[in-house]
Amino acid sequence: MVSRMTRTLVAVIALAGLLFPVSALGQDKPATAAKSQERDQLGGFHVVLLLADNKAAPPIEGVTPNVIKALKDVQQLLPFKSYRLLDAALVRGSNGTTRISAPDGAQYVLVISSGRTAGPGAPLWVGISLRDPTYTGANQPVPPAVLNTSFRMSVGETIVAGTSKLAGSEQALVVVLTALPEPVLHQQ
Amino acid sequence: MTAKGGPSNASELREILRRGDPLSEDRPTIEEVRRMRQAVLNGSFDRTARPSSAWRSLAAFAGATALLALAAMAALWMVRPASQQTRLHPASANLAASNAPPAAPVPSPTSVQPPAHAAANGVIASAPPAAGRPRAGRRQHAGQAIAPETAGTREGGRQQYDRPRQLQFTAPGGTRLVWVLDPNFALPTKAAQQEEPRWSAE
Repeated sequence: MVSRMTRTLVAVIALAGLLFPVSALGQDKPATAAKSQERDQLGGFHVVLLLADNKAAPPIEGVTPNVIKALKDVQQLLPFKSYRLLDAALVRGSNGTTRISAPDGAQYVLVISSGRTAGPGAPLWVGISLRDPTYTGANQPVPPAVLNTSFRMSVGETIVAGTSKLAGSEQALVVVLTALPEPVLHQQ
Repeated sequence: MTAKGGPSNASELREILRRGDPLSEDRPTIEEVRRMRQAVLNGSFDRTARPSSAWRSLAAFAGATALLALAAMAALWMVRPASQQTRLHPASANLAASNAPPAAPVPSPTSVQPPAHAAANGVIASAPPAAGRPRAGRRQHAGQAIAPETAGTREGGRQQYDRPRQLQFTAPGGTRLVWVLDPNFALPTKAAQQEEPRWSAE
């Protein structure tokens, strides 16, 4: 009789042990999903403008580790030997305009616009435009862009965008763009 | 104990019971036994050879589910992003056709032509993507999916372009590179910007 009771008790404890992690996982799921959704919420963009050159120069300084990693990644795809930091900017929200230093002390107007083609979790469509505000073209209300491009990207991703001439270009403009999640931007 | 007016002794009772016993008839012949056995066996084989209606329903349901899954996978493949479709190489030097943005701040440059310096470095070893894939071309907006043959003029066997071209690469480390080849690209000088700005997007 006692052994039967003991066996029943052991079985109940084992069943409870099996069911507990399942229920605990079930409780964690909404929290994990909420955190993931939070990370996926766009807070803004970090923009770094660089001047790529065919002349050798000291390694770039004053940029964040993700920018250095991105540059190391794309260096073997590009013919340039050095990269010089021109300016960096933080654009809050999904759209924004800011002034950013160009080579030789000049200034560009940087326009960023973005949006999601689907619901939360879908990649972003991002368009960036870099323009010279002093352009004096004939009968053109908007100056032609020095760099005007668009692409898809995810929140948290860093993309390198650049422009140069077709061939034999000595210098190029490089924009390293990072889509910042909302929590990261709040910490800054 | 016997009922009143019934059989008076045991022998009469035995006789009555034997007459009423159905098993008291003659035993079936061998031929009858064989036929009965054959009928029983045939019935048994028929039952095992033919699936029950429940199994048939289950098989039909499984088949329909498999067909639906196949159709769903095909539909997902059809509507997946063009950037995934146009990826050519998994590791290095990926060349993907640029997808047009729905909300670009200004008209975008045209796309798809390998850069001369990148090609010279052996970065690009593949043809422009999505050239033979009409679906990818359909996703590109007007003005972006210009075929190389129609986008520029050919001089001395080499394409010459007068409009910006956009390329997308994926570095081995996973970083994506978007490069615009602009024949009119020029860096500004401070001297040219001494005067007041004539345009502002703000």
